[in-house]
Amino acid sequence: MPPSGACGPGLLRSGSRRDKNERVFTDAAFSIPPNVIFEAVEDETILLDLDSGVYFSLNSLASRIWRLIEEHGRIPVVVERLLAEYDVAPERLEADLERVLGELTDRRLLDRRPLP
Amino acid sequence: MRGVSFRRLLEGWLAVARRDQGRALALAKVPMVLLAAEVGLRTLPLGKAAAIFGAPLDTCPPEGPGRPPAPVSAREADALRALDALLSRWPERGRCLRRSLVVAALMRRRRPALRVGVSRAHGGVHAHAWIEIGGAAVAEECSEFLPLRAASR
Repeated sequence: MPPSGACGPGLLRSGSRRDKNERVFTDAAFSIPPNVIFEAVEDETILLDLDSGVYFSLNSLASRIWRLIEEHGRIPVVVERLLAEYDVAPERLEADLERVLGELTDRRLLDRRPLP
Repeated sequence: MRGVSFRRLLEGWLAVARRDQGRALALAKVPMVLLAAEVGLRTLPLGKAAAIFGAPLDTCPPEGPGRPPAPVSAREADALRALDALLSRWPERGRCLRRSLVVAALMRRRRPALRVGVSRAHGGVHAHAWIEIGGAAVAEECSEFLPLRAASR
């Protein structure tokens, strides 16, 4: 049963459907819905959407974001951790994070909720 | 596995039926359940189809290292051979899911659970589905696959 529907290495490179001025994450928390199961395989993470039966593959950076979302959920914490781990300008990191989160929520692989 | 023609399968089943009607009846369930599994997987989300066939999807992290395959009775092994012969004529994509649902239905009394896992053992990522009883895969070695799990929080 080969994985299908992979968004793979292009996940961070492909364009977002969101308005670039829309700040999707600073005031939000994300969680992994129960219809999504996953596991890390080396530096990738494979996701399966149980509702559609479609597999997705996350590259290494998206996998790290996914792991932090699972552990913390709150985006400010995720940003803080990523800035500590990667040598990247905050604006660039936030733009990449926004693209990843936008794609994952658009595909219903993540649930978004406002921070309390 | 090389494909076995449906005609040979039918001839084999008829030969069994002449010798042992009970065994022939048990084997006759296999293609019917396989067709039902095909319909279930085409029309229902995986978790729901698995539950209907008697094997809820297990998305908990596995407890400890992989266990050796779960033992099967002679009658179960007989049905599995018939199932694999039928599946050899099935499209390869998703074959393991169909096999899993049929195995689940045939072993419903043993409280089976469906697992889906991924592996990188042969270059590229491969996904596989299998049935576990008491944490052990049924009649196949699946230790190379990491089971997919639900979020921990």
